[in-house]
Amino acid sequence: MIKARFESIGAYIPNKRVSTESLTQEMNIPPQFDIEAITGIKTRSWKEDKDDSFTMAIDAAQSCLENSKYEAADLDIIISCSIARFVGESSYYEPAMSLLLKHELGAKKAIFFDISNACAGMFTGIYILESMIKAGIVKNGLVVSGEYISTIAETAVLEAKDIYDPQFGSLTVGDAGAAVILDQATNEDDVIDCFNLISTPEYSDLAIGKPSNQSNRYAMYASNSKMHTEERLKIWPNFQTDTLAKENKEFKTENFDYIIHHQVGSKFIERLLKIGTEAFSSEQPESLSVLEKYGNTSSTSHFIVLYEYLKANKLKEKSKILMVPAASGFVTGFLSMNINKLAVK
Amino acid sequence: MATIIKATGISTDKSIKSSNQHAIEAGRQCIEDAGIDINHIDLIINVGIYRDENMLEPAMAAFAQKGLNIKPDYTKSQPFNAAFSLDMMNSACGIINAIQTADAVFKSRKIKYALIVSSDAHPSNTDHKGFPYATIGGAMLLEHTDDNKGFHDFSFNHSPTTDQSVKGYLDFNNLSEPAKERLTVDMPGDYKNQLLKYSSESAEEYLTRFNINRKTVKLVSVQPELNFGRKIADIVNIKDDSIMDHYEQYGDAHSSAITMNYHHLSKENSFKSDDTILFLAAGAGITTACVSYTV
Repeated sequence: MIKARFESIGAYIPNKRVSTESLTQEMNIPPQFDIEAITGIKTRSWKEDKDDSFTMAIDAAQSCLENSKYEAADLDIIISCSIARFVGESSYYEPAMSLLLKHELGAKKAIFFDISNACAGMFTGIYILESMIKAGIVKNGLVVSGEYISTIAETAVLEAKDIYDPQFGSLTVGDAGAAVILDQATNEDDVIDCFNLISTPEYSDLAIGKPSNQSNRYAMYASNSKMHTEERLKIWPNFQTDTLAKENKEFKTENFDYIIHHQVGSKFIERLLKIGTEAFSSEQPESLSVLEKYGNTSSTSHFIVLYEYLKANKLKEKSKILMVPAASGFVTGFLSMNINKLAVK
Repeated sequence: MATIIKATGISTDKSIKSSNQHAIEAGRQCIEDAGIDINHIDLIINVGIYRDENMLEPAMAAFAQKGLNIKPDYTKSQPFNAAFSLDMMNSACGIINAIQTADAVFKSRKIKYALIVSSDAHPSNTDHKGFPYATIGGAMLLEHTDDNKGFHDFSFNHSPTTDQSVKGYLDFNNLSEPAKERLTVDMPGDYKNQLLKYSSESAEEYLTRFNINRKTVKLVSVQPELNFGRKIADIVNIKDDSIMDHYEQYGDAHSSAITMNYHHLSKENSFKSDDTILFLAAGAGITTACVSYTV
């Protein structure tokens, strides 16, 4: 069967940084805790005045095309995956953001639609595109997200009261755009090897993003202590173990070089690494992270990590990478892939 | 190998004001009608556009999955006991994108059933006079089969710009209502004429390109205005005399329109084996989507 690969990757990371210190100083009730120590986030990338979801998606898509052999006109499909869909001061439901991107990029033949699946948005877009490439419906496509989400951090600054406040987690987020182009794999050195996602919505009401009850902004209400219990976090290794077992494989012999977890915070990642070590009975691969600089850029977070490490030439040749999403819903799973030629100019 | 419609369901109870409730109710009827084991559904796609309280996340499909009790949690060592849900948004054409997506997932991931749900509601969950769409829900259960019938030949088109499009958005500069109950839908005066124009042009191009018999093809279209389907059939010379119109009964069912139209025609036994149906969706963009279905 045809397999898919990451053909190129691009990103737009705004130059503006907002430090955890300056953010917490603005809080109406000064926090009685050290957010930087808890999250490992010193600064977060923050949209500039010129940025919105659309412009960040365009900038990320153009960055990706610069690293690609394809022109926009070659693209068979565009899937836009951001959580909010801001154009200016309004968040759009229709027409689709992906159509606006198609027009702007000049992707004349591309089919298009938007995906909404919280922080798993780009993974969901890749899941669909990989399926379409494998099924022979398209040959290539662009998955893109212009994630302007810092509005929920602004709301949390005004409204969160303490570490137990359901808006506390919103203080971690940053803004960024990310894009990947997938096409058919031509060899085993650049290939999406094993990829699946699951939704376990039994506790879907534990993390809700919607306009604030108190102010004119989006807000995120998340019961992280309930959502991130050990039992919930074990769904990922259990699911991956079971999936690998169907192919008579196990984690240990997959020989991953790197692992990229959702950039929610350093303590969260440490817990996942510990849970992974125990559940797989295996040491975990080297964990890649950029959260100290950029924070949690939600649907783009794993791809900003990959982009930054590629740009800095910090990955060894012929790497095997494991990406693990964690999103409201609750959505998790795993994307395992080999990369060799994937590069950032 | 084919992707076929196993069953459909619609939710039209006017006392229900929530888009999530409508999607769940339509899904419940659909699954009941199909008579399948709910644990065999592995993919849930919500194509509704306008949601309760302007919710951003999680995916509304997650609420549908939970509300329908489709494998809401993962139990270790039962690897087939897992499902994936997502929201897909492309105005009234999202249903056709979702069918094509399910078709791709069927072929590449070897799953058996996918459920597409849809519903639109004003975020305030009231009969808001500025909301031009019907507050109803739809559900379509797709099955992967070994025969050569079902959906084939997907085609998507759009206008050169979005200037003439309807635009639906949450405007954070407008403080008229609390943001979770606020919505603006700007519909240009000529929008529905333009929808008819692009829809009929797309239908004409599609019928010609795939050499479809206009004397026998059945039409299932969206219904953004009274007699929309009949007008398209007349323009492109489709002779189908079974075209039904539910605009007066429900209004513009938007993301659920295709499912609702097919559901009623199917219940009226309008289709027989080997009939060809042209599904024609049209919405914001202006975007059109066509696909053939062999019964």
